[in-house]
Amino acid sequence: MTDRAVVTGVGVWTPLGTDAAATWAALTARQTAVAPIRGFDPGAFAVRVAAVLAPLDEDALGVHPREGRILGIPGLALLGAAREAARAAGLADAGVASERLAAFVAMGTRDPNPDDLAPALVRAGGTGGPDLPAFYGGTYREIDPLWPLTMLNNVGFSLVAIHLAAKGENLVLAPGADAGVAALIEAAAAVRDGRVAAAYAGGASETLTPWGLSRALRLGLVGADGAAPGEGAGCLVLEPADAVRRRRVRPLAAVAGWAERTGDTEAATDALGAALAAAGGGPVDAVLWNAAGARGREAAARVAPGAPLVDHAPVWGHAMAGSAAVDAALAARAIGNGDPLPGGPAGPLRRALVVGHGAGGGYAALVLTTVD
Amino acid sequence: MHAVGRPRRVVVTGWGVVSPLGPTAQSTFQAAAEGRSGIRSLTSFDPTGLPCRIAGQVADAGVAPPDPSLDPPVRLLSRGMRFMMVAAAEAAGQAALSHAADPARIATVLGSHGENPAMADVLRRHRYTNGAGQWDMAGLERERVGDPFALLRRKADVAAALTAARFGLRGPNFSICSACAAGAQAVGEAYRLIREGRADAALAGGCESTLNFVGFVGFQLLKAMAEKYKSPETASRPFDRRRCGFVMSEGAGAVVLETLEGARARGAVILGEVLGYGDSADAYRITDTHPEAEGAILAMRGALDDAGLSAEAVEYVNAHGTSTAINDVTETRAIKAVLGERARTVPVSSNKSMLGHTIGAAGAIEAVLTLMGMRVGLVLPTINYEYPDPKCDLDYVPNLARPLAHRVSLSNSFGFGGQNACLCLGRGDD
Repeated sequence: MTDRAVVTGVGVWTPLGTDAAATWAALTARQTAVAPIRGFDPGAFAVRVAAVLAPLDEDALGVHPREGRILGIPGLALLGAAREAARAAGLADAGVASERLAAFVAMGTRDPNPDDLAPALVRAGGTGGPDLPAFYGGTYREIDPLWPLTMLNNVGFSLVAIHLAAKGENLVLAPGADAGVAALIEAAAAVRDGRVAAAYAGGASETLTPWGLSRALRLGLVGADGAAPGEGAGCLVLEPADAVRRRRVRPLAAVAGWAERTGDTEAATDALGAALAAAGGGPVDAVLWNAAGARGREAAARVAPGAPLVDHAPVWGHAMAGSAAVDAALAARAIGNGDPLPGGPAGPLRRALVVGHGAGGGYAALVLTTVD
Repeated sequence: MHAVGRPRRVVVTGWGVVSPLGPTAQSTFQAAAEGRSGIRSLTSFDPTGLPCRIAGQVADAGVAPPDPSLDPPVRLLSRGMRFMMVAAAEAAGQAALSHAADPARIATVLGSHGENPAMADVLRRHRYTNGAGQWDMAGLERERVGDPFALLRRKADVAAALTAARFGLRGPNFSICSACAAGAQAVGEAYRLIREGRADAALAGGCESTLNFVGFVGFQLLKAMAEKYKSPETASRPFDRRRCGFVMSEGAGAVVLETLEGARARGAVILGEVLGYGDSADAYRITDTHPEAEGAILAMRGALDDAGLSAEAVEYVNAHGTSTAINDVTETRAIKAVLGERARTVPVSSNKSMLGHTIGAAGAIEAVLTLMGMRVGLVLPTINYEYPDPKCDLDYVPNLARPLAHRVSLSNSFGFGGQNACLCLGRGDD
């Protein structure tokens, strides 16, 4: 069985707003969430600003504080975005069995917090280094036993799956913007091929830490072209077009084509070109590519000449996998409502190319279009 | 993008393994066929005082040091990534991967979780925190100590990115982070990419090395590791009544997958076939397996459905078989639910009895060993099986490998947190 995958709901949780409408309004009003970093002293870094999420209300999300600690702020944002997407899609009324409800997500890197482990080491005493026998003999038991879970991407994902009762196919990819788009692609393929009845697809950033910022700077993910680090998450609900027609829901957009490549500028061009070709060719109204950089602009100009490149990194930072998912959610919303995309071309958005790239040279591109 | 016509058959034309039993697929399989254990006293750091002080360590002598002239730079390679490079080179060499397809049509799909920080790094960072989430980064940067590459090695996608770069693979590139299911999911997702026409070949697998302070203490805290054992070699005892937890291990596994049509056209030796793949989430509790094995059953049935086979076709099950009290019981339930009356007559064995648990590598290594067993007509044993557990009442191939011609197998992998994967594998000779 093959059927086109359509987007029936989107959810967004960014520093600009905790849902799609608020984020949309902030983007339309040309607000920016990029501000000086306050969580730590960024003086040693070349980038000292970021777009970070406000603390999330675990109670409001129905999440136990222990779960909240495992999820981290971006994981909580992903859960919030997924719930918004499910509501928008009317998923609760769709009659989808849990076993046929899938989740494909890209999650940012989880860096261990030194404060979780080191105090117990220090308390064990020792000169010239920790007294390991004393640590192993006693103080290591003072460490929160859930601490290891905070380091694992898939555990945060699994908590999201529990809250969404998504028992079907699942995938946790990590951690770049290419993975964010790849998660959407995997969901679209699973829906198209009838392997699942509906799928959550999205991405979440990592938490802004000194370690993450240092890494992103070394990799050139932030800093170049004014891209600041960002936090956030986005999620889409994808369903087969036929099933959506039967339950009389108006889809926002259709997934028309996609492609993935690895390498240099040529690979970027290949990925974009192959995605457009898979979607039947023709122009797009806009290319959404967060923190595209010079290489991205070059590839987009080659493949989609005349289509403006919409890069939201200057206003809400580069949230890696989260950025890609938010871009896709915003594009689907614009297409579905017949609106112009904030920061994009003046007319209604009808066809968009959403692109993500990762530090490892991965490029993933997806075409969203109107539903006939 | 779109799958057209009949789905393509996906075959295996290369494999590679680095494990505590050997630095190649063949040496690992041979040792496992002899029922040898790769578990020893842990030497990668001093664990004196910890309840668990054993592990399945890969012998350094068996893994060639990276050639400094090669790309990627040596400092970017964690221990687990070094294993991956070696296993991938074995698989790619056997398959002549560079001839398998246009590089833009060869995917790289790896299960990997990035490197844990060293204890020294944790302590160094701690010196510059105030305990309330505030860091003195200026002070830390001024100190100019530590390994900046450690931050890069922490990224889960580095292994897939560097492997693709090393072998010039320009197709889709995925890094899968589903813990103990990651290696199997990588093989399964690569299979789907090829079957659906999104790639023509793939290098897939998984790698892991967590036998370090942070990784080991972390799993110790989760109370999942074996703590009561007479000797290292007898500590991993899946399905045995006296099992008491898993034994941490390290390694890598890799396969080269391609279309049957492509392999035949270029005269590649077909080593086996991926017939189907199923995956699921327990969505139950974060630290507990579903008591009725709901997720495991869903994944196993999904693999069979995907293969277009009934349970009658299954002749061997390579179990996840971790040696934990809960997994082995629930997995037994799952096998019974899926295979029905035949469950008691189908051999089921756990490679982890000999290898320990290689976490993100496990599913890939076990897929390779399953394929190798089908090829030579041998079912690997579950060693250390001494005391039957009434709740685990299947044929676990106790202690000795068993000659058995078989053509269809299932290989289970269940990830901590509740992600499940099952591969349906075939001999690939029809």
